[in-house]
Amino acid sequence: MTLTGVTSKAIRKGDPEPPLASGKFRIYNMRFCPWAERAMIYVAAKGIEAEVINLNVTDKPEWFYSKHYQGKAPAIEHDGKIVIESGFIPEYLDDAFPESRILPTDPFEKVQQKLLAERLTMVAHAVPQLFAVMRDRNLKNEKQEKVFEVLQQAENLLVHDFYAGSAPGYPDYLTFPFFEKIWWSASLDDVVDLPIRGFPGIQKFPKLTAWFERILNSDVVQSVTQPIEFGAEFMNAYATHGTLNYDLGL
Amino acid sequence: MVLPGNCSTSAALCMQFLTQLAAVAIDQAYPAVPNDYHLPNKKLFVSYRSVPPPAPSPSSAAVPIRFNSYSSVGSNIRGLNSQTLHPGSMEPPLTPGNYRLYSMRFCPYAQRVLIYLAKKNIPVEVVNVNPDRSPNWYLAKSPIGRVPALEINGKVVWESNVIVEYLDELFPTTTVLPRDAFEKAHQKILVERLSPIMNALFEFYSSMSNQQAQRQNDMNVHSALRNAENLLRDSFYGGRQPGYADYLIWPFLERLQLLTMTQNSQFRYFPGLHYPKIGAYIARMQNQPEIKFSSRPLTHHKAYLDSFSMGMPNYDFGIYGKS
Repeated sequence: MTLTGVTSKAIRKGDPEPPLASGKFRIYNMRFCPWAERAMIYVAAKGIEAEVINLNVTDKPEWFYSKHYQGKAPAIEHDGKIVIESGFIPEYLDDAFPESRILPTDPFEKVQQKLLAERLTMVAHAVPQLFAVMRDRNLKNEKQEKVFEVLQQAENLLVHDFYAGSAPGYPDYLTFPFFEKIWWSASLDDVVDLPIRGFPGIQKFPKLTAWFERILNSDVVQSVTQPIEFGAEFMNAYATHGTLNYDLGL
Repeated sequence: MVLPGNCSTSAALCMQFLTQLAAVAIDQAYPAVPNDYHLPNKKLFVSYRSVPPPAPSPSSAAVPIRFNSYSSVGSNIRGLNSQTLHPGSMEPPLTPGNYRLYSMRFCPYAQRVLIYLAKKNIPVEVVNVNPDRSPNWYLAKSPIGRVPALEINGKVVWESNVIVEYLDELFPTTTVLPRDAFEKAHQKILVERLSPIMNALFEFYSSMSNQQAQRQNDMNVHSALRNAENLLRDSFYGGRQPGYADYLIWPFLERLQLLTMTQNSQFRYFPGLHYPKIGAYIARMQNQPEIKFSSRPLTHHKAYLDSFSMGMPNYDFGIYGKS
């Protein structure tokens, strides 16, 4: 699609900085990072032609610190301008590329979408719970209650087909990566009692299940995401402090 | 924007959650609003040297009568020092077409919005509400009862950084955020990079009574100030004039000066000789009319903080006739 290098090998310390031609757009990513995925999805949704550089974030190249002061992903770069923070990049992109605006132009509607995305950040809090269970399966019953609670709140906040209304928008794109991490976790043995097909479960979360399926299978998300097997394996390695293979599956 | 969300969006660690330690525990999906305030058995605050309160200075702009005839900044704002509304109160009716800011007189996040409103000269009515035990009618507007929140014609917006950006979109001629997309993003990133100042303040609040913790906190404050000193490249973080980043970080710098009033901290002056740029910056900021308008005397902040530590926050401290 519009992104090249989504499945490129991770660049690490010692690797030289690939030169960026003027007029070209680049996004610094890590294949399994939900924060970076937010930026990736937004870039793809806006149809911006971008080159993806995947990073080995534990063994970062030194030159990357000149892009992000802490060396974190995501970061975007074009025409000498670098923007960081997954919370700020989407809005910046809408300002810099207004032809493909995703956020509404009406100030109040726009604010409501941002606030909704804000309220949905609680889904991100479910992820550490799952990591804890991956380290110790005895915690499953306790931790998964919190995950269910979070999913219930998300279900209640879903009023239309998508969080943004009748079509996917800002809050959908910014929150999806965290739902995806919960979905990946569900494919591991005995971490959380959620189905992988029909996630998170049509009985308790009817709207959310329909939503997840639609967003997951959309062109935009499919063009940036990783297969569930690799995602789950990576999460497990991260949780249990195993070795991280940034090029898993490549 | 999450906790250190967004990998770092210091999601409002509002002081009201401090005692719950909800601040740091990512485990809590949603910190609960306390229903029963837990009263500590002993006094937590450190007794400060008993000096008489300083004579009213030009910077104690919170006092209704202003002796400084230069400043008419803030004349657009009514109710800054109105009495706090608690559960059981009636919702004050809001005329259609009028802006209202729900606030708390000592809340740093609310102060951000007040600075912005003073700068942009938007007519607004301030209603102070109890953020720890919000009146029911207020919970219907702002889901978790937080302040600040802005209401107009039945529409409610909360989150200080979201409110101020919204104000810039409604009133673009007086925009504080730059119009250029990149400069705008840069200002937001600056606030993020200055967030160690905010973290240092919250840590200070929770370590006041503990000598050991205070020493550690002093180190964090030094680190935050060093960081801020390095990031200051012009007269202000917003450039030649104060901008978005300055207004959003100011309330936290203002309160950090409380360090000079606590026994356990090494800070006798703030920020001290090691940070000349920040020292000059603070003086410059304190001269801005919109800052003077929204600031409160340090003794008032201290009194509020002490009352909060004792479990009986006095939101109305300093209103004429009450103390």
